[in-house]
Amino acid sequence: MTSDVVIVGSGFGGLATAIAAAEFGLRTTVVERSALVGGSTSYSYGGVWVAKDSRAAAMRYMEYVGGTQTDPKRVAAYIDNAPSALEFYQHAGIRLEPTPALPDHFYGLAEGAVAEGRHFDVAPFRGRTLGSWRGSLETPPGDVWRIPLGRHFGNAPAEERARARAGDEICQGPGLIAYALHGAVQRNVEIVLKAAADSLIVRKGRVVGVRTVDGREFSGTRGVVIASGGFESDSVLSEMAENLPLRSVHALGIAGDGLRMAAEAGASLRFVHNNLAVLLGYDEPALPGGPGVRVIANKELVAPHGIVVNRAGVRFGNESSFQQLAGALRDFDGGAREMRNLPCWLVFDQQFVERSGFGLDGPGTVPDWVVRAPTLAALAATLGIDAENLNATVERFNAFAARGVDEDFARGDRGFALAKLTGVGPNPGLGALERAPYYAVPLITTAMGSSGLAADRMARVLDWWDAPIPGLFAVGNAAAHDEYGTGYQAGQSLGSAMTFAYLAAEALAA
Amino acid sequence: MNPAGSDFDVVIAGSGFAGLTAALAADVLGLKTLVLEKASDFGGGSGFSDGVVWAGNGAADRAYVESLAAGQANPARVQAFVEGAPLALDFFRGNGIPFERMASRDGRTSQAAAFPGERSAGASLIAYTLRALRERSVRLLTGVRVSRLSVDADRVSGVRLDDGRTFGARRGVVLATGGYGADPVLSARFEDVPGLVSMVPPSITGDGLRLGGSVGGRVHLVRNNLNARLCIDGKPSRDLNFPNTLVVNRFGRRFADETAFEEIAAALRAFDARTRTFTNLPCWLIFDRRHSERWGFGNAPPEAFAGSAELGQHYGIDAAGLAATLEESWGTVAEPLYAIELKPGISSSAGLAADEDARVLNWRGGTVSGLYAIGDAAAHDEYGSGYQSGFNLGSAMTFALRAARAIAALALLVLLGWAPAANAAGDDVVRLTFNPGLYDTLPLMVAIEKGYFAEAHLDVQVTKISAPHGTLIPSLVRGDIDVAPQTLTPAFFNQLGAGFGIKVLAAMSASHKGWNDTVWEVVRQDVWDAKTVRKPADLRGKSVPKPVGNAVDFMMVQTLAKGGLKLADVDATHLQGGPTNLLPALINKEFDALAVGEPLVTQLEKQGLVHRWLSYNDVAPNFQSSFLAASAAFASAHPDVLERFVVAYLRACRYIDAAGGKWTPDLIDILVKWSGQNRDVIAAIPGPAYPGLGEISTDSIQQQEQLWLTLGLLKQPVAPAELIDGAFAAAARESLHIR
Repeated sequence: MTSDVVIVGSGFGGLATAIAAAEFGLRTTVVERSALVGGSTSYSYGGVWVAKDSRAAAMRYMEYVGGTQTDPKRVAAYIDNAPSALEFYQHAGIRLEPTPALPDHFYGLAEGAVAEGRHFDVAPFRGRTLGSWRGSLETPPGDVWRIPLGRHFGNAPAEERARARAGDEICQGPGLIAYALHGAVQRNVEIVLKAAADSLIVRKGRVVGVRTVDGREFSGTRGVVIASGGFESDSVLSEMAENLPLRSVHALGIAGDGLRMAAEAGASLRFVHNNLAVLLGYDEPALPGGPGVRVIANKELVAPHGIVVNRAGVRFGNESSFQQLAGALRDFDGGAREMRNLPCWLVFDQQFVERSGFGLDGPGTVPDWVVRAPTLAALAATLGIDAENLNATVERFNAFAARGVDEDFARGDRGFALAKLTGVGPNPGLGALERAPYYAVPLITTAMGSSGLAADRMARVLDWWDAPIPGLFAVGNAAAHDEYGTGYQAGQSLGSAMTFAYLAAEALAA
Repeated sequence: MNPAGSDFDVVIAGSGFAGLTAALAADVLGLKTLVLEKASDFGGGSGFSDGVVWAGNGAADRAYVESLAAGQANPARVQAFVEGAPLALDFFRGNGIPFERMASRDGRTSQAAAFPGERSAGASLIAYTLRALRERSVRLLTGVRVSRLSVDADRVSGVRLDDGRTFGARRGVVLATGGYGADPVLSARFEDVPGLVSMVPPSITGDGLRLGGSVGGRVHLVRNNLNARLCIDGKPSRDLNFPNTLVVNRFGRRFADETAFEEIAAALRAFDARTRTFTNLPCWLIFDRRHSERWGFGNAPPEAFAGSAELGQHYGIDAAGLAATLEESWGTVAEPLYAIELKPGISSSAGLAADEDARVLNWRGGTVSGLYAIGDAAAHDEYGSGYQSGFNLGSAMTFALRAARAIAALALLVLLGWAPAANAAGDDVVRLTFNPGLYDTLPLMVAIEKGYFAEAHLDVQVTKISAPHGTLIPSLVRGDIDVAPQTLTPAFFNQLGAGFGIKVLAAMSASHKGWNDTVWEVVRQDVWDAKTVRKPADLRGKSVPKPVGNAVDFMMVQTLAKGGLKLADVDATHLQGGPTNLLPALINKEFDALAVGEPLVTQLEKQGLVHRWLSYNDVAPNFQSSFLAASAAFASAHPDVLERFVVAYLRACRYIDAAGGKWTPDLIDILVKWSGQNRDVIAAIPGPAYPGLGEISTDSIQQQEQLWLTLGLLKQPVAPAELIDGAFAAAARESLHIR
């Protein structure tokens, strides 16, 4: 089968590349190893971060977000081209609209941040528009994704969700995919499902196609675009890249196919260190899709009357900012040769349960399996946490809560974008732990990876001497995120995927 | 290829201690060898080193090295290193390098004797090695840079130089070019400490990593590399070991014991996500007159300051913090006060992933044929994060010898008529992943330990996990893993609905009269002692975990059924959290009875927390609870390989079967080795689980499926025939004459 371009992966990066390539007149094929379209985009909020306001402000903001781990050329390529890419895809029919009332994550902390206007998500998509492709759309369990992100931030009332379900309205990540899939199909992009790419076909130093696991060959005379996502499901690779023990939250295996294929063809890798897209969660036995990790970075972790402690019984960061916890999770004790802050626990009291609740059932509830004890000392003894320190930590934290100032980690100082601070008193981010029983849940680290294939400002994959490999491109999480470095700002993963998809298609059509 | 004379058995890139010892070993083993050095002088980084070589007492040092490694080591490489180092020391001593034990250390380190005219121990080491090579007339070239590796038919077959010349390498190319310390681009890409200075000669620019990576060699990064130093002018500062010196950050605060490089190295990585700065960089050496008088600073003494306020202002160090630090540390300052900015330097943390014979690994669990990496060109997963003096050169010569031996062995095989295939021995690769903490995986361990796989010409590459086998489903359906055990969880059935395929090949554990079971229903010890539970019907009204799709749920539901009970007759509303919560749940008396797998049953029993009550044997005779499974892609692409795998697997099952349900010392040894669990715990398990002999019980699969359908955990029924591929086991049974 011969096309001009073969794209590996049907997440937003892949489909956006396909739309642009087809629009530029190229015969385009997308190969997807799953039976469904969408990849990890379908499990995301579907946010796209584009700064249309001021280049100078955006670049200043990126300086902070990047945390020394960026390639200036790639940052500039992202910031400079994202607005025109956004416009292009809006014209192509993807109804991306500004998410209301969502400030930049580091608004008030970083220069160049804005209160609103850089985060976009899609208007509801009617499922029936997709026709026969509707059945091939990957969607997560539950129906949170049927409501636009900016409405209620995941807490839409039941009747609103029921209405959306009845109309088969699709929003957030699956919505973004639905629009992109529709756009690709309209443009005669060939989408081949259950085609698991295995290796690249290289002729005379040029990548000219893809071979699948079952031996099929898809040739792309102008090149191949790797858009198969990162490698979060490969624990060996991802723990090496992140310097943390990790569990994947992806229902699908995002196991680095693209990285392997490209590396075999001589592509070089780049590590982005101190990636701050590290989210804490816990083992939830009752998730709709079966037991798994439930991420609570912007939920239980930010609720008052709870703290996160290590086995020494000591807090190590601002619980309401997952980026700050992420930095500390990597602390390594060179003398003792162990991770200082792992394992760690969320410790909370009865007020926490009544006000916010723990788990899937909301305020007033806590699952039976959560460990509890009448005193902090007993809780510490059960879990093997230093009891004396835990008592001292809570005493100190309670004093902060009374005064409204967290002198250690400034929790609650600044309204973190997605976190609703629900406490009462001088600082709604804080609340004392003082009413028995006391509870503890062991936390698990998950991450959205940042390391990957080294690519240039046109999404061309680089070899080990920094020269582009002819015919090979990488967009989305398959490429190292040196355009935003340590991060993490919501919407930049998909925003940069969209931008580099557009740039890759331009280069392929040139 | 060039005309005759330009072809060698082995071409070695790089002439540090690794490259030169590889050449010496290769020549001794009869291989025609060429060494290519990019710089104008031989010796690379080793010539500028302290020349210390670590070679301990063999296997006894394994625990020591692993304790330093902080989980970042590859056990097979650690073993190869500790066992190979003393052999390498003897080998090279016998071939011209006069090693002498260093008296001042623990007896595990050596240096070469002083070579006449050389000023340092590192230079002497290189000089002796070079002399030995010249006496043997080994070809050595300087000023030649390898620009690309040549690949013929998926095998590295030689090198191409900058000037266009090529050299063929019939048996292998050895990359011994060192790390990338002098290359700022690669340093920034791989190291997580910013602002690094080079501690090596300018020729050490990552050539080996680039060359190996460009032909599909896998890159590996060792995290928390502690082999870092604080430098002045690119050399590790020796001032840190003297009294009246301190190292402070911009807050004027110390951040580690200055004499412990591993503490400093770890602290250099501290990253403050709020300010996006490294907490302890930049940093400064602070000292006063007492140190400057003792040590002196030659022609370029740093600027002198009257006190911490003036010094702090000049360098941007918080003066109050510095004053407090000086007060705490010294009490009084002997003015003047000095500061020198220290720059971090680090040995390369990333390199090519290599196996225990220094073969470079590819991205699919196999090796890059014909390519070897030693010294800093390889990732140091033979000692991981930790470091002690002499590891670097000790590892260099150890893997140099091992690589040379592997190449020589291959050459011998070729002489005897073997064709080099995908891997050195010509075996087919099977990627096997399992959790050795689950004791029903014993047949896999036995097949490996007894050499059944090797005898079937299979190179079984094992990845150990510590998670349930259900987590492997995505990798298995995608074909990232070829073979893995599976239990019958809802996820296992649901994967078919998503259009994927995993094939069940044979049983792995089954209930069988006279054998221990993999899963037991246990009763909390105090409940048992109160005599309220003696038969299944007694569970009425008792608290048990809510079944949510765990492999052990079947056991509990069957127990209830045996007593004529349904879930509604017991309190099954409480969820059992992850394994980390099981112990607290029992202490908190959350459950009266629950199903638990081995060896956890035995551990809880030993702690007096539970009473071992019923097993599958009691409630579901002949129930098969776990299976050997393969990715459908692998089964269809390599049926011949899988068939040999299943034969070897069934041989292991038969070996266990012969023990008749009792432990043999051999089986206990194997399980202890693989599970990493305490021998007492293993020996206390009543016996091995019955592995089956290749049967697949459709009944078991249907019973299990019915449970998930009843509980609403399965979207749609699946026909067992879609899951099972019994042909492999049938063929294996026939070839082994089983029944």
